[in-house]
Order: sequence, then structure tokens, then C-alpha cells
Amino acid sequence: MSYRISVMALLAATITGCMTAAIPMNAGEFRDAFKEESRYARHESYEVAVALGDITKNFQRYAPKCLDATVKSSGTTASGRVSTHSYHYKATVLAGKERTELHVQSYHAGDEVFIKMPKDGLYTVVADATKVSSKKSRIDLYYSTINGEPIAKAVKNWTHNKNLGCPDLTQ
Amino acid sequence: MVVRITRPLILLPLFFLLSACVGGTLYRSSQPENLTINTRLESVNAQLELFTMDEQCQPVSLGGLRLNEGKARLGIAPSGTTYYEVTFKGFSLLRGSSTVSTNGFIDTRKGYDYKLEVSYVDNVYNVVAYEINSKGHKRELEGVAPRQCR
Repeated sequence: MSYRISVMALLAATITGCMTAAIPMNAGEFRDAFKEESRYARHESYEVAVALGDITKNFQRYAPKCLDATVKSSGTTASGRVSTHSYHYKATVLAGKERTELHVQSYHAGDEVFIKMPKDGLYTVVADATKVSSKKSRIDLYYSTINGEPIAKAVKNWTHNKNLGCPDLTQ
Repeated sequence: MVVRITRPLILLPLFFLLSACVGGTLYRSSQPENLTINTRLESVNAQLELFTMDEQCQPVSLGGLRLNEGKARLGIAPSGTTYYEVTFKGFSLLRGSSTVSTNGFIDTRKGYDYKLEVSYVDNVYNVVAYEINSKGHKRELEGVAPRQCR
């Protein structure tokens, strides 16, 4: 359900000129589309007193565990019919000595038929951690306000090295 | 990992929300207490189910119990593989009921103590298992399936 809204929101934003590009097909296009905040797009930039290596470890530990996931939802219509939906999430970590990237993609099963999207789904969250010093890192976090906020909150925790765990994707 | 959310149009009966019952069998063990569970919860209920693994590496339920905020002690087989599943259940008027589960394995050894840290705080959940030796040294367990079951 939220993913349908996400697709519609992206389309609407594109049509109304809020975004300069269509559906972002890679992380770079997602950054470009989301670096200027709008109702649906957030870009946060901050520094943390956490070494890049520790952030990378948290990304590598929690992203596959928490974000390679399927969320199933069901509801009952007024007529008594039960409808079910599946939302698929996929996380990719690109680790380097000076910079580590986390990409999170998601899609609602069936939507890929109607819209051209990247192989593993729409970009939902992109986090870039860049080494500032041996104990400091700079974070650039881009996310959709439609379905990316719970993930972004957990990713922020991973960058701050506190309240480590998985986002509840049902929220 | 699969998480589920259910949005019924008709609100669930209040007794369901307030129920303290655990579905299925209640976990009981005659083993000496060797597992400490520390639980921290915000606005959800949590349930732990424990399993043993049969020869085909299929989990066989030993029963479950509701996790309450704070510390609990119980006994699990002192040598062998115990599989656990922790389920967090939430409910809101807007979203209906939702459940999210996480699981792992504990390979137990005689003479060691074990600990599960279970938390659901600010919509972030985590379950971490530790092995503690007789000197109190704590080692985090990977929680992966035993070699013969991979």
C-alpha cells in the first residue's frame, strides 16, 4: 500500500516539476533527485564521532539482516474479501577505505509490470559515509518520506553506533 | 526475513489486545537454568518460542513464553542446538496489528551460560545471543544454523 503511494508520489512529483528527473534508476540519480528537499524527499547531512570502519561494520552487519526482507500485509475489504500485498526490500553495501555507501531498494509485488524501475526496486534510502578523520565521519542520508523514514531512522542509529537493530518495516 | 502486518477493518476485540496468553504450548524445562533473557520493550508485546532440531534439521517446537520487561531465567539443553524465534506484536488503530519476527541458533556447551538481549525501542528491534564462560567472559554468538543444517 505504501509502495503504491510511493510510486504515485514520485510520478506526481515528476509531473508537477518537483523533480527534474523521472524514476531514479541508480543511486546517483536518486541523490540528484532527493538532494533538494520536498514533501517526499529528505536529505540530511551530518558528522558523527564514529570511525568509518565502525559504520561500515554496522552497515554490513545490519543491512542484509534487516533489509533483505519481504513485508506481507493483509486487509479485509468491506465485502469481506481478504487482500494481501508483498513489499520486497533489498540492501546493498559498497564498502571502501574512504567511503561506504548503503543503497536500499523496495518494490510492491506486481508494480514492476506497470512501471519501469531498477532491477531490485525503487531507491528508497541511500546513505553515504565518508571518512573525515580516524574517529569522525560525514554522513549524507537521502530518503523518501513515503516509505523510507523507518529505515532512515535505523540507518542513523547505525551511523551513530547506538540503539543498533533492525527497523520495524511494518511501521 | 518475513514480517507481517494486518489491517483489519473491524477492530480486534479488546480481549485480544489484553491477552497475556501465548499461542501454542507454554515452554517448560527441567534443565538447570542456563539462559538469561533481558528484555526491553516499548509499546509492543514480545513472545519467545524455542525449538530443538530433528535429524532432518527441521525445528520441533518446545513451546513458547511471553517476554516481559526485565530479566528472566530458564533452562535450555546444555549441549546441542536450540533454535529461537522472537516475535514482536504491535497494534495501532490506524495500522491494525503487525508482527515482526527474528530468529537464530544457540549452540550450547556444558559449563557455559547463555544470554539473550531482546529489545524493541523506537521502532527498532534487536535480539543478540551471547555465550558466557565460567569467568564471566561474554562472546556474541553469530546465531547461524549449525554446519549440518546449512
